Amino acid sequence: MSGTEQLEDLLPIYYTRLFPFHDYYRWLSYGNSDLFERREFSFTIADDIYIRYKSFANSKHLEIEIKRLMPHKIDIGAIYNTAPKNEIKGNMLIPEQRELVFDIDMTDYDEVRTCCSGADICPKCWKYMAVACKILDVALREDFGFKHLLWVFSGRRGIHCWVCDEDARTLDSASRTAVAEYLELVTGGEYMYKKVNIRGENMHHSIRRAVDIIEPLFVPMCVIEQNMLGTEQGMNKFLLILPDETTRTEVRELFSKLENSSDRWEAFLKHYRSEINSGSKKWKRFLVEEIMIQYSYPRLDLNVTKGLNHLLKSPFCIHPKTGKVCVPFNPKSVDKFDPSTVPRIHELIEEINTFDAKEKAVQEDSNTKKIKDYKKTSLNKTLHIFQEFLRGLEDSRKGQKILQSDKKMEF
Amino acid sequence: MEYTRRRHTIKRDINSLEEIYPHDVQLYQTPPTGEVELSEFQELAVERVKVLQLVESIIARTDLKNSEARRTALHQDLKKNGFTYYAKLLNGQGCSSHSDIELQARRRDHISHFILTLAYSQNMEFQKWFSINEVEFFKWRFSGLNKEGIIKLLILNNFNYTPISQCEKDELRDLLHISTLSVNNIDTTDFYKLPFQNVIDLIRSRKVYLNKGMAYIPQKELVSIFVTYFKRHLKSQFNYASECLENISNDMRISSFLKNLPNCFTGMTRVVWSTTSTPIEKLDELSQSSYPLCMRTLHETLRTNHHLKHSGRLQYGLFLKGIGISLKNAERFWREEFTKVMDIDKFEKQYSYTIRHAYGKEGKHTNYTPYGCNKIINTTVASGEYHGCPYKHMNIDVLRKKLLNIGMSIADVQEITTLSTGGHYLLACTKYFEFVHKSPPSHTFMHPNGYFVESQEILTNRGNSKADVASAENSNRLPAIKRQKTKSIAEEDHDMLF
Repeated sequence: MSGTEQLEDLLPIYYTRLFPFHDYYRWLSYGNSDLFERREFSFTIADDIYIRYKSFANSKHLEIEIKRLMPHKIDIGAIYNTAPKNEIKGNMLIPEQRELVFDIDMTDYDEVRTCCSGADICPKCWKYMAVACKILDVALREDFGFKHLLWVFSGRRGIHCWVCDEDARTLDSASRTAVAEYLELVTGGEYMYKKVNIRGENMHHSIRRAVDIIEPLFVPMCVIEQNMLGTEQGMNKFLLILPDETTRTEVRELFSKLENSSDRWEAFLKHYRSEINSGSKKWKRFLVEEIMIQYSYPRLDLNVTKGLNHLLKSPFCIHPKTGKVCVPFNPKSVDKFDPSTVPRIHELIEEINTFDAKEKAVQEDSNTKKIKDYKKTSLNKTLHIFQEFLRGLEDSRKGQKILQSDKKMEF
Repeated sequence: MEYTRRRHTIKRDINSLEEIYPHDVQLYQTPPTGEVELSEFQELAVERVKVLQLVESIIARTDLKNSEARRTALHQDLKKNGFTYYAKLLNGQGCSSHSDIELQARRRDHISHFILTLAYSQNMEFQKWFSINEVEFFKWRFSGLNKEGIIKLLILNNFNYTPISQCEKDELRDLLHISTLSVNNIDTTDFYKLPFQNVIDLIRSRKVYLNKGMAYIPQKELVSIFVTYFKRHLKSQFNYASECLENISNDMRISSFLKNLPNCFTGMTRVVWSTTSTPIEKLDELSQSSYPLCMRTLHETLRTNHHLKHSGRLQYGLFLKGIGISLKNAERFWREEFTKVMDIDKFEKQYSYTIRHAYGKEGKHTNYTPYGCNKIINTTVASGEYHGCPYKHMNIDVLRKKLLNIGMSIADVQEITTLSTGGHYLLACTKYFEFVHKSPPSHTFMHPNGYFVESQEILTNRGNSKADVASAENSNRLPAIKRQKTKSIAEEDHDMLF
């Protein structure tokens, strides 16, 4: 991607030929145009001008405005009590509904990942995202009973989850906070070394389940690939998590006799287990689980989840820095998702051009049906995922309607 | 809800009072109707404010380990101060007796709660103060109920929950066992199944088993249903009450009383605004002489890293606003620091909005107030962040090192770290104040800006008259601060009108 100039050339084509306005509206209207009308959109347009509180009567208006302003970035906000565009400065706007959203950003893993830092990502760090997605997906479905989860790659270094069930959209801020805190296990700032504390005699079923997901991955991913205990720095970081100076000295000595990360981890486990079995009071129960969680459990940006009016980057918008599309992905096959192969805007447009050129050559004369442009590109696959998600939403709405009319029949 | 009809007949007939008030605890679902004399109206309101202040001071006491101890302490305080009705209410078991004094107590509870809802609906800060103390008071009262009292309260408020069947319990036995915190014997306790939104306190702390959106809560956690409901109820009442308060502004006797009530009795968690402006050039010096450790840490981090994350910027930025840094100077202060690591363009685009926002110049134009200790202590701190309360959020070794660097003796450091590991964060902060100022403060702080103002008073007094100030200072300090508080809050309200 060669900077914003190219983006400005390509965006008109993208919005005209590829952006899935139809399905986008199917999603955000939830079968009720009124909900769409009261939704806040915000645009970042050329020269980083930021426009908040935009709203649109229907899909057509949104499309016209997007094509006029060519936003570099689109954010989705809450559904308000009234259409935001009618309210000056948003003084009387009260957010009424909003998907329950989660934002996981790779930069929050800088403390535990060694492969990259900051905005960079590689296949090694993507594994953290895969773990996060698996743990949250199952927790939101099993514990909270949510069904309509849209997982989206943010375009650069993170993932978003949009929980779109009606029950989730209508949660108040206090309940959102409760969900977020229920899922948050890693807490503590720069001045806290041990960031996970499991209270009580037993491990809550949600923590147990997360540990079961992490356990088989922990050694290959954290101990070996990230070389958790392979360097002086890594060991020091690890030692600080231990309960006190005595235990630290014990383990430091163990480590000094060994060469690599996985031997050290093995030695630590052996030492810890024999201490626990001999009834030592120095060591706490669940320490191993706590360590595994600290090194690999999802790190959430809680503020995004807590409020109703937090803006979050829209699916299918182009990441202005990478040129990549924010594409939905299937959480079941998150392990296979490779962020480096996510289509970039200029690749998509080349794909259309190539396709059209070929088509032209092959069937100059025939009058075949016009093929939708996205089908000519690698965006096709992710649109299928999106459409499947939409069908799920629509089916459950139908189900509800039938249920309601059945009820009426009884009386 | 009809607030304006307050001054119509309330029947003094005991029988009907028992019908209206069948229980020692109420959720204030319906506003009172009837007539109250102005003098009684005022008396009831002032009484409840004072009771809530006692509640506040009990919450602040870190020597009380559990809610039973706090309840006992509050009961003593209520009796000592002559609030017999409230002492009675606090010890009420629910509906075991309905004596005259109990009925009167419930009536006072009812009416005064609604008066205060009106008075404290004026701004977010008042609302927060009122809610925190009302909720806590409610919890302690609830904990005194007997089983009959709890069941009756469920029925009275139409909470139709029944325990899950033995069959369902057997099926879930293992899961209930591992996921229910603090219940040892599953068989001897009843479990209730209800939507998780109704017991959010239990969800956020992972205290119960949760499946498909339904929480399974043991008998002893039923209070959570009420607390969750009560908090929501208070919030929605405020919205309505603030409209009502505007509507009764034609009756000066009542409206001016209500509008001034929260200002007359300032709680200690309330923000103390500095009346003088502070130049930003003095911040380095002030951070050492007059900042509590939480703000000093943020200031130093900002100077070293030339950056703070969002929550840190808010905690420190609002504190600065409270100590008298003008918006213009605040913008300059952050800009100068941040632009050491980024270009000015990026700063203007990404950060200056939030600074103006905090001063109420952007977005909803809310005039944000500086965070109090409760909020700071209960905040979540993630990696890469430096805000929060150092006595809670700092690893003990880091805290120790930090205090030693400041020049504290090993004995003093030991005292503070012991306090902080014991959960006595406010006392640890007081101790820090004592070390920095070489004299203890007049009371425990519950607000960083309170710390700052008191520190400044000591230092200014010392500067003014270096000789024998110590004794006079101790007796004069408190009233001086109080006067200042009321004045500055009134000024702030005045500002907000325009």
